[in-house]
Amino acid sequence: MPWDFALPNALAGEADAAAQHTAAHMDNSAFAGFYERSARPLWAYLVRASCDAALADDLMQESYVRFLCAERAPSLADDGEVAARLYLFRIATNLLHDHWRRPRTASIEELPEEVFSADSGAAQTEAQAELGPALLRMKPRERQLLWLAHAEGYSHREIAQVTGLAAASIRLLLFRARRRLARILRQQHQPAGGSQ
Amino acid sequence: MTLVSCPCEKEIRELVESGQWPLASPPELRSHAEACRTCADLVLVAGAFQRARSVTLAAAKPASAGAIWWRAQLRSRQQAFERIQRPLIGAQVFALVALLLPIIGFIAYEARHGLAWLNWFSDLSQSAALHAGGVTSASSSGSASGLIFVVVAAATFVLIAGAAVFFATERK
Repeated sequence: MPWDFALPNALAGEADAAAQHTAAHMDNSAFAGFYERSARPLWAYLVRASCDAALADDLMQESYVRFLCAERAPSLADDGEVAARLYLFRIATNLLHDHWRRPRTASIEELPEEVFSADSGAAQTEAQAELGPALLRMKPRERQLLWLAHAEGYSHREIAQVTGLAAASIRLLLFRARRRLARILRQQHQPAGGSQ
Repeated sequence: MTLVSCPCEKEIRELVESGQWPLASPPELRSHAEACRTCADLVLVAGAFQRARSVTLAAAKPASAGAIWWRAQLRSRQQAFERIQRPLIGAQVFALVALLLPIIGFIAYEARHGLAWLNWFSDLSQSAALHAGGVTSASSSGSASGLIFVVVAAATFVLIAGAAVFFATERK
């Protein structure tokens, strides 16, 4: 406490002002509305991309906290909800990548699928569903791209904003992922022992 | 894998995403989707994702917005406090360096020009050994006054430096 003893109130006041400034792009009620509209889609994206419901819960909360603390986060009033939502999905995507990178130093593309398919209750129930088992056989980045494109309905430009990939490469990556997933889904639909 | 695009892709995608596929879609588009592999893939995948989305949205149980807002406020305040403290730490380091530099300079100056007071020790040892009780010679008294000055100055610097280091490192 070298200098604080002389300036305790000044420091506390400045911290309060700065804290208000960092969350100034959204007030409490506006955030509650935004959260109500975006929390479920964000959780759905995280749980489908990670195949881990507990991880999706954690990352969703952290995404919103970072979104509120970010000084450059888009304002609902000025930039609109679409921009705010893209920014939020971008934060969530970065958190997912950070999580995947943490256990190993290898690239995300080099990691085997088993690393990303944590066995959780949600994953078990999804295994009964149509898409769950097929998604488990896809790469994490493919799952992200497909979900953003076909569940969230984002354009290639918006997907590029969320994932940080080049907009030009999204089309090809999405085409490949879609073709691969379609092949897996057709294999699933074929009866056991059926002709290929 | 070569990218194969189809002009009907956009229209079919919109129909699937709006839930109008296949019942509310034109028959020619349906027959096209059966023949075109790109559109068939699109129908299969987009349809599966739309169904999965509705199931997953229903399964979501998000935490309360108030709790997240409160967490964000705490995080913001902590970040702001750290931001404010950063220049203070810089000022503390600067003060410490400003204090240490004159001390180092003084020691360097004494080492180069002075050190007369060191002679006092040799004089003292010689006079103590050769002439017991004869330490009040003229040369010794001159060295003694220099020694007093040096000791007082060094003690002052040590006290100030100690206080400065204490304030610079004490955080609580």
